[in-house]
Amino acid sequence: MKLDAKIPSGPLAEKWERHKFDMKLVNPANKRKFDVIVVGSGLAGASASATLAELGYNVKCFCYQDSARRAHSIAAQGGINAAKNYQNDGDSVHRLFYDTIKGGDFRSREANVHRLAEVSANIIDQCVAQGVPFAREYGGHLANRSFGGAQVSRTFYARGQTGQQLLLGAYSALSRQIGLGKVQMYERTEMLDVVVSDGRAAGIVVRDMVTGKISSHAGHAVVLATGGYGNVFFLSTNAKGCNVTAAYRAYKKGAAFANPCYTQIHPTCIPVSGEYQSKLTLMSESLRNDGRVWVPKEAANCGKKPAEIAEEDRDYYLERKYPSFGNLAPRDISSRSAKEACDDGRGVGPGGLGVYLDFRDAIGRLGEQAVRDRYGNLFDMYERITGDNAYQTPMRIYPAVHYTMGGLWVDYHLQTTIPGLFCLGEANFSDHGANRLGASALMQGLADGYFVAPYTIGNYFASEKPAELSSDAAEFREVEEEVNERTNKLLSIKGERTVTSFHRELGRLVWDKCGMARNEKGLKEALKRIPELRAEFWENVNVTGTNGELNQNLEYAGRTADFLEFAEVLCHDALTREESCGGHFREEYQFTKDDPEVKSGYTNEGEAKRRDDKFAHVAAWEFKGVDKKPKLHKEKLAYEEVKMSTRSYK
Amino acid sequence: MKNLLSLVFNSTLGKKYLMALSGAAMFGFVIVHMLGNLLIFPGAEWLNDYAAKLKSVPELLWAARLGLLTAVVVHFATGWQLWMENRAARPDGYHRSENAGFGSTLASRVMIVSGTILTVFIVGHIFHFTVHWPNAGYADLHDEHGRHDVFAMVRDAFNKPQVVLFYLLGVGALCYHLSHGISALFQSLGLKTKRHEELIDLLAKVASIGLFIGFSLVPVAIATGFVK
Amino acid sequence: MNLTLKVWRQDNGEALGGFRVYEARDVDADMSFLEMLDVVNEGLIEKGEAPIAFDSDCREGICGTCSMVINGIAHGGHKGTTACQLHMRHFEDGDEITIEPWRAKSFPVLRDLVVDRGAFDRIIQAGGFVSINTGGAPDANALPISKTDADEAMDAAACIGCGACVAACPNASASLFTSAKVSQLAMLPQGRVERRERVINMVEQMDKEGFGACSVTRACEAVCPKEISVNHIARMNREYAKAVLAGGK
Ligand SMILES: Cc1cc2nc3c(=O)[nH]c(=O)nc-3n(C[C@H](O)[C@H](O)[C@H](O)COP(=O)(O)OP(=O)(O)OC[C@H]3O[C@@H](n4cnc5c(N)ncnc54)[C@H](O)[C@@H]3O)c2cc1C
Ligand code: HEM
Ligand code: HEM
Ligand code: SF4
Ligand code: F3S
Ligand code: FES
Repeated sequence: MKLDAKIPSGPLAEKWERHKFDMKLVNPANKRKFDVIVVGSGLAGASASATLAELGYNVKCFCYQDSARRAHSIAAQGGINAAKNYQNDGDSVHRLFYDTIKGGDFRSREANVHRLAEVSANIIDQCVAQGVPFAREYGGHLANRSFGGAQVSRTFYARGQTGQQLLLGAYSALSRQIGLGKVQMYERTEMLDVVVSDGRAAGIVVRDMVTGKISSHAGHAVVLATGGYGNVFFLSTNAKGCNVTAAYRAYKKGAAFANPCYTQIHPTCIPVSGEYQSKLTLMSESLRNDGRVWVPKEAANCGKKPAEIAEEDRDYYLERKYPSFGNLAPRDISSRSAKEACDDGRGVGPGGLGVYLDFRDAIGRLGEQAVRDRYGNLFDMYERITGDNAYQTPMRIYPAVHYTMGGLWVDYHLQTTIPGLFCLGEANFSDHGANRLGASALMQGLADGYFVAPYTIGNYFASEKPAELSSDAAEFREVEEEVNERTNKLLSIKGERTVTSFHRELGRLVWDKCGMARNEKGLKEALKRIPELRAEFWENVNVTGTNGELNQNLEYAGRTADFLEFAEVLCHDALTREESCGGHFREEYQFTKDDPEVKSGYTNEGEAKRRDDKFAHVAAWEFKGVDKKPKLHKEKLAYEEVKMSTRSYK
Repeated sequence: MKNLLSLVFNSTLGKKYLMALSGAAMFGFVIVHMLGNLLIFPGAEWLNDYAAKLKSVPELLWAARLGLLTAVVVHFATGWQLWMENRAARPDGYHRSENAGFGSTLASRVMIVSGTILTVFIVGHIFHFTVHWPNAGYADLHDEHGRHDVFAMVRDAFNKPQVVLFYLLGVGALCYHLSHGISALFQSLGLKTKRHEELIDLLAKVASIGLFIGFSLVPVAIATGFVK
Repeated sequence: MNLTLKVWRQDNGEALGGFRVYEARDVDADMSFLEMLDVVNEGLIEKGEAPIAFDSDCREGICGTCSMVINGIAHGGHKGTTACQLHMRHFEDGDEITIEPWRAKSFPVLRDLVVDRGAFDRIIQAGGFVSINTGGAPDANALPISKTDADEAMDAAACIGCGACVAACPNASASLFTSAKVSQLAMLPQGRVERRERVINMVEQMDKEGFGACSVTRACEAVCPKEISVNHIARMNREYAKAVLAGGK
């Protein structure tokens, strides 16, 4: 396997423009001769499908939900970044680029990130033209807010439902193409494998989730836009159905998987309430603009009602440790600080896994009405779930897995190591390095789908010879056979344990050993335990029913089986990356009081310590067999524009 | 043109327009009719004069009757058609009946029932006072000016308790029908906006109760001997 | 708390369905309704029985996947709350809870509580969009839109396409859903260009799918988890009338 990022030459700011010119075009009359398969109808998949169809390609789009509009992008609350500088506060393409590189802790590709920042402005134009009702000022122009640690206001939003509105925009464009017959939409259809012929992606094998029928779809290119793998942790803010299956099966067919250990933990989620918990709910980060995070100074006070804890007995730890960012410190830092407080025995609520997010002072300063105007829907949501009124008592929050920066390795063209197989959105690893900034995932998904992949896929058609394979070909039959075999095996075990019990156990293991803080010992334990659990799964799982029916238990079993393999790749990556960066925190690699940076007051003791000399690379893993260690390939990261530095949010 | 007709007659929205427009026409009629009926209180002279004037230009009378008939027929036929289509849209109902219709009023759900009672009433009423069948004697009542003595006819009728009951039932059905119908009419015609919503709902209440009182006054006043 | 569940079970679209009774034991008040069902399903799987099939995905009230009629009320009858956000603290020990799928001709049952809402997608495909290709959009601030209009458009755009409006409407009408999209785009200058074709095509599709008509009962508004107002239906009616008066498409 050779990793060639195919980054165009030329000055950073001109690479994309020039490259767009250099790429080959498909003659308009020939476009209808090409079939593109898009798996996923989230921001990335829907925007790509619509745009490719508008260009004239024949598109087939797949999603596992009952409607394309329900992809998990719908759940994004906060907003989308764009370098519009409408606020005249000093934003620019370069600043967005710089912030993203720095936010990603210098583990992303400069060229990709710059392109992302460049096209960000077009995204907003496009969405507004589609009728996305972004928030506006009284003068009728678009409103912005600052988000997730950014010092400029570049985030566009639609109430607390930005993801929904952007997705519905993309969905409407997609729907239009479906109506015109240029896109064939397959809902409730799960992709179970890619078909590779002569080293090129030639199509996919899917299961109709209503009838159970396994069938094949051939295409000249296959695009995976299947979202993130956060559900490997069982509990996350992802939807129940989010899975790694599509990406993982592609990995097994030869696509490299990059940086799986970069997982983002979001600091403001509603804590777990019991054993039955099925998922976690995110409370928008915007709450941190006005809420103050604290825990009692003394563990002894944790049992008291918050109102009974005197001001001087409260530890506003973010304000204390990061005076200039305070409660708005970046996600990884806020999350880890909450964990530290809880590990210290000062967590609040059941199991001691929670910290307070307190609006008392904001209500005192602004009045309850103003707070209600800003966050009313979030307070309502909080009350619905917890039964508590956050106007009267502080919210309780705890970090939860939220986003996965890792994903299939892609080059500048968003093409994986399998020619003809492209990967967009959260499913790829491309732009966020080791940590994603708030409001940047929506931007990336739409950038990939509207403005990047449609060009690069055309270039693939025009400059290379895509696979030409009918879905009747033997290659498809073979893969269908594999898929059938696997399904039948799952159904025939009829053991003692439910799929959920395996998934939950796996999730807890990965969270404990490879969650907010990781160390060599824990990771090794996990790597020992995962194969055991997997073996038990394949001997003792109980999957009810048959294949020929709507069988949610079977769907879930297939996804969990993939998580059980994928978790190992994740832990291998975390173990191999002997440094701390962004969402990956290795306890062995943190600043100590003897480090000069701490002595000089530049950073704090306990902060993440990168090791640029050894780890300024992308770690791309190649599949070598289920019970074998995957093979590591490194793509060196070179920084020409931005100087690598230690992050400081003090 | 064919396309336009189809947009009205073959679409649910178009049919609702027909319902609302015919309903509005009938609403207009019943208001005028009620006001006319109230002329019984100033006395027979007024009422009979009014009735005679109404009938003095047969062309106008028949034009109005035709218009009204069209409204009734359209309203009736479309109402039933919609009702059947609406049933077909939900072949199997729910099994927990105590919450049936959660969030809606009963009046809004039983328009077809109140409407059908109204049909029976209207047919009966026309036979009773207009066609004078089976009580053929009404046609021969004339006052001293030779006009049809509507006053005497009405007085005679409402001295029978079963007739009063029939009328009160009819008027009650009308009131119930309109308590929902009037606000629905504005909604169906697309005239309801957030700003005027409350006003329209108020109008619906006032108008339907007003009609009930206005119409009931006559039979009640006669039955109780207030008008002799 | 302990509960008795009366759940609609139906193996597939063709099969005859019926109610089955299950006991839910030791239900925690902090559980969500769907988590309660998860626990019941775990018990069923352990016994080798088919778990109750129901749709859900985000479980935070935004994807619109969850869909069940709880005690005769779509989503269970708590203001602005989807079934997935409904928590068990609203129930009491010993309650009998009836759970049924959305029922409408246009939403055929696929299994148990799972229905096919493809009709909604087809309504959007008929016109719920602005015909703009990617690229070539003018600068986003080139077209100022009053905050009031933008806010009202957003009110309508908040629809999650769950179908509760259809499930609750005595006529199984899709008016609230359809009008939310018509209204959103009618409020915005971008959408006005195609307003006539849009409303006519979407209404035509809505009728073709076999949904009933709106008789203004407002049951839809009462269960809509996004509290979409029936005023949007009035706006759709207005748009339709204008379109017809202007000579159709
Ligand atoms: C609660 C929450 C809040 C967020 N808030 C923000 C925010 O404010 N700002 C921001 O920028 N980002 C936010 N994010 C992140 C962002 O929403 C996601 O990263 C982004 O939307 C992912 O889009 P996507 O198109 O890559 O994938 P998704 O939207 O997840 O779509 C995946 C698609 O793939 C399909 N699929 C998956 N597997 C298969 C399969 N095997 N077969 C067939 N189809 C399959 C699914 O059906 C779906 O259509 C948030 C995320 C969460 C969870
Ligand atoms: C208690 C209340 C009512 C009284 C006393 C009353 C009285 C009358 C009288 C006297 C006539 C005959 C007039 C004539 O031929 O000279 C008449 C006709 C009529 N009434 Fe009423 N009416 C009442 C209620 C209603 C209601 C509620 C409706 C409709 C919903 C209605 C509909 C009509 C119609 C359609 C005619 C026929 C008009 C025509 O000749 O074309 N009436 N009514
Ligand atoms: C002839 C007998 C009648 C029948 C069978 C009847 C039936 C109905 C039905 C079924 C509806 C509801 C339609 C729907 O929403 O789907 C309705 C609505 C209505 N009816 Fe009647 N009705 C009758 C008489 C009347 C009369 C006499 C009036 C007025 C005086 C009237 C006024 C209205 C109005 C205003 C509406 C509301 C229209 C709308 O929803 O837009 N109806 N009728
Ligand atoms: S209008 Fe309300 S109830 Fe209907 S689909 Fe939209 S969100 Fe659901
Ligand atoms: S419930 Fe049905 S009748 Fe109309 S107001 Fe809502 S669509
Ligand atoms: S599961 Fe997404 S709205 Fe209920």
